[in-house]
Amino acid sequence: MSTQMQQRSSTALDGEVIAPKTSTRSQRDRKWRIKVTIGQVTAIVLILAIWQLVSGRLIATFLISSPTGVAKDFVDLIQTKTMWQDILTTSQELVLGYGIGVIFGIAVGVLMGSVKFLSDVFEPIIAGINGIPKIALAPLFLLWFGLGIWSKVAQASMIVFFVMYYNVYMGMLSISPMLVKLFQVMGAKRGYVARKVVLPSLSVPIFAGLKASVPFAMIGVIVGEFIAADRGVGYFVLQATQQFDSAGLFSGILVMVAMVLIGMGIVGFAQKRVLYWQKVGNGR
Amino acid sequence: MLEFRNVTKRFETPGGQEVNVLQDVSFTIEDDEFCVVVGPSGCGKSTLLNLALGLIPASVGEVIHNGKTVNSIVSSDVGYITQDANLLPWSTVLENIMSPLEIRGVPKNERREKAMEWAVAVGLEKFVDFYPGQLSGGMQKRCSIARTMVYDPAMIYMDEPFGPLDAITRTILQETLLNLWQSKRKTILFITHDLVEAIALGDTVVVMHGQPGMVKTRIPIPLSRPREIRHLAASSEFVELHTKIWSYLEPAANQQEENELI
Repeated sequence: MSTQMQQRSSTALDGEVIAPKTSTRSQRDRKWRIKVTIGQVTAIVLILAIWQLVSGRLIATFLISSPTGVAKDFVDLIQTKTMWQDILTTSQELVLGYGIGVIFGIAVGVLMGSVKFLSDVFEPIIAGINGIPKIALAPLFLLWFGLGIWSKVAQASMIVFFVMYYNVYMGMLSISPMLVKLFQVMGAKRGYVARKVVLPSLSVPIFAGLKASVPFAMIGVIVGEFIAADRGVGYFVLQATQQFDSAGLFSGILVMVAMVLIGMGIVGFAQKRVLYWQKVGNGR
Repeated sequence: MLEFRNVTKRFETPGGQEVNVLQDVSFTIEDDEFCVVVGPSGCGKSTLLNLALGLIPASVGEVIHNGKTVNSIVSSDVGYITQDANLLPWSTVLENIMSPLEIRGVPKNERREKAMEWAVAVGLEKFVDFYPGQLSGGMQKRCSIARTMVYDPAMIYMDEPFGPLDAITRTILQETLLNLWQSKRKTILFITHDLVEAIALGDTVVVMHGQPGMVKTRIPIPLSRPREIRHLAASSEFVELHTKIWSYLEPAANQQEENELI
């Protein structure tokens, strides 16, 4: 305490005492982070404790289960073969739906961003289609693509497409025309400008879209499985609900959350690799 | 050599009206001349550059670059330094300086070597692996100057390149530019709204004003070279030139003052 006081007064008196100032700052940062972590852990423990206490006392167990019930059920569940089959099915739908949506979203976004005639013609049409609550199309996809994974893939890619498309299209519009002109004056041909100016400029909105799309893809897949399926994590959750197995329901949701987090982790990892320059730039 | 021959540039406003931005502009920039165009904002200076670079067509008259009429983007043997540094934020300083050489298909080793040479010349040798976001505005500008000088264009267009910098940084960069120009003679068309800068740098100052912008006069700057910019403003020759050029701008200034009061 007293040393801290001394440091503070000495920095106040002459601005040259830089080393102790920065060290106290990093110390303060670390203390702050520890405080935040403690706060977060406390909040989670408190919520779980209230849930545990309320369960079976104020609210019936079949409605909200309990943390210990869910934990036990979750551990049992991930040891069953059927759960892993469900996870595999949902993963397939997720990856395919995400992939197709992303590819089409980027392609259409780039096309619309580069050909003014196309964007003038199609932008209002795309906006109109985007106005459809896409979940309402689930029965239609079922009709078109059947009970298997493809109706879910279609549902997910439909949602992901719009997220990606808008990110990329806006990204195309925000590319600096001055930068492009400058490179043309420097002698750059179209290919060079596309590779060295346009594509890197788009990497930021593309990653924004990729990140936002992961949970959206999951929504698409789960809605598809809710409508009609004979396997998948969404199907499992629906079954659990119909059997008033709330522990199973919560466990299924936990599995979904884990899958989304893993997907986000993969995108985040790729983002750090590709957008290395951005972090450096901001950390001036 | 660059020649503006009776150039008029007309733009259509969103309301469908036609507005002349430049009217009947004629002047010539000789090889190796440092020509500065000075005038208040809105007098069509930047439009002049866009015309010279072929980024926009002239409505009347023509721009002639090395004997050829400019009718598409000029991309051979010209450099362009803009108000913002316009560096690639995802490339390091060295990669940025190398990019025009890459465009020209210069072999990789030679690219590095030349870019390094120019990084040293503009004083960025310690920052070659930095990203533009980590540099100050002045350093970014140095990088963009090196990126232009590295491919040795015969003619360089500069559009208020030092405008956004603070006074001290600006003076230092002006000196850097003059030193580079002294050793590597180039034809320069330099746009500015700063009269002091115009006199300090140029062989010739072209004074423009009005809406539509017109060339009022063209004044040779007989100050000896090399010039020491930081002490220049104190010399009597400088003051004389300043007074003379200002006399051309003063009626325009009075006019503008009236307009802005309305």
